[in-house]
Amino acid sequence: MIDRDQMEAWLTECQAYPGGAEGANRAVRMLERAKTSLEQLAPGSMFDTEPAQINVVMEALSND
Amino acid sequence: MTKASDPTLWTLVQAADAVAAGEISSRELTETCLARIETWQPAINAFIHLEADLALQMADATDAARAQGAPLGPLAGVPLAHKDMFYRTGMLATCGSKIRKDFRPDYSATVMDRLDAAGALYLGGLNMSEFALGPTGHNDHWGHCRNPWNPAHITGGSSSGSGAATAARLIFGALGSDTGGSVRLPAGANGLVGLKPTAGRVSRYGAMGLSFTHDNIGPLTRTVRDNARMFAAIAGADPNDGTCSTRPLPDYEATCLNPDIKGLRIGVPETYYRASLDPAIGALMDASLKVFAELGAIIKPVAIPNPEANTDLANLITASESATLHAHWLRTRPQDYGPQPRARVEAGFAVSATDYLTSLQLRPRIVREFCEAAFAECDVLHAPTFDMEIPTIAETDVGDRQGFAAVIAGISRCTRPMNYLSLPALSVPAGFSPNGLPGSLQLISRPYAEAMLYRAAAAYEAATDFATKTPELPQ
Repeated sequence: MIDRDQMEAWLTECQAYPGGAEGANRAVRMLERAKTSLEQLAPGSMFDTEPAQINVVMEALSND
Repeated sequence: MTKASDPTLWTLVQAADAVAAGEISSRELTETCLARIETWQPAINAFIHLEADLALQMADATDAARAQGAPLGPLAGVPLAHKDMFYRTGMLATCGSKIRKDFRPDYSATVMDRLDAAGALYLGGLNMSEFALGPTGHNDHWGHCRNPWNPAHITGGSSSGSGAATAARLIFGALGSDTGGSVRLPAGANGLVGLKPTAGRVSRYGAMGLSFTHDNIGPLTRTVRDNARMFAAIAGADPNDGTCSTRPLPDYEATCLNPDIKGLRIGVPETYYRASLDPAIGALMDASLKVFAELGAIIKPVAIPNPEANTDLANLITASESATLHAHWLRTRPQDYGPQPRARVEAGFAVSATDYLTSLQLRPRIVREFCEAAFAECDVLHAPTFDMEIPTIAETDVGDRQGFAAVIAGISRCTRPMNYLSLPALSVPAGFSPNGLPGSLQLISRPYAEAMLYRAAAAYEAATDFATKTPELPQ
């Protein structure tokens, strides 16, 4: 559970972003959805992975 | 395709061939387009700025080169215009924004240089959602772009003007950018062919960024063959963009000539794309599958991993990357953003670095799992571009009011998954729905299989008459 008030404080005080209360609500909704998806998709260790592998995978998956 | 008497109704290939053969001068072709723009612009607001003098200079140069017998490029003398976010040295590139309303870059995008080298003319910058943030075509600064089939309806976005101008026959093709569907959505809403290429197939150097791991550049055109010709002109390795693939390019246009799809395995995803499908669009999808089957394709249901969770990660990544790009202006000039673009970008400030990187780390594995499941027994996936009829501008005029994110997510629901998955997807006209607006399908394939998409789409196009339909000037 992400604390909405802490999110608003983070956005306005630490990020100097003037979005206000509704901005914090939107951010919380987006993050809670993403957190759920991350738990579903990445339940184990991510120790041996790195994002640039995408280029290798794309080449490997092409069919020619 | 039969050649019309009005040159603006020609396809891009017909126009290029006519200029090359001396059937029409590039100047005459350009002047004909300019006259049509003058008539249509008040109704659809497709252009942000028109560069008529430059286009006529380029046209004269083409005509002079032809008269001297110089070799002409594959797009020689053909008027194009593009989403107003591709930089050309010293020329306006507003990015659809107030913040960059006077911006004139001091370098050119690789895609602009390549189209110039192919001989294309540049007629100006086209309307777009502010900073490419929005799937509808609303723009609070430059006015909403309107659909030429019915100006009360959205064009789709964010490459709104690219869709509207090409569909209204003001130009012969346009480039757009696709981060969550922004080429395919305006192609679909306006009855055009639109390609989101494989990530890394087209250089993004000199194009405004929105989300550097999800941005793709692709053409919107009237026909499949037109699209292949434009794509061939812009695709390929670029030393200025390290994310570009160096693999060689096949002859895309050749695959559109006498295309044979006998035995091609077309998979219809059993889940996700049909979960909230409007029955009218469902009928168009079923009719299109019947055409593919009659052409000899093998249609089969296919189980795909649910891309819903991927989309959550894509949203997190694009919010984070766009907030990074816009951080300075958001802090110093928040009042110069429209409410919806600002609200969308702001959420990115809330994303932690570890969540952002985990979302990117997962991508190779998810792409592999998706391809292994989806393409084990089929070559191409078939899905709607929109799962709803094209809505009106009023219905989608939600600004930053509560619930706006759901409206946006609904519109780009069928396109966004392929941006996280990095796969090529081609939007193709599939008829008209009961409200009179175009319906469209997407063909999706493995990485770098654009040629197969063109082959399948060209066969379908040849068996239907949707590419011959032209909107009439609204009264």
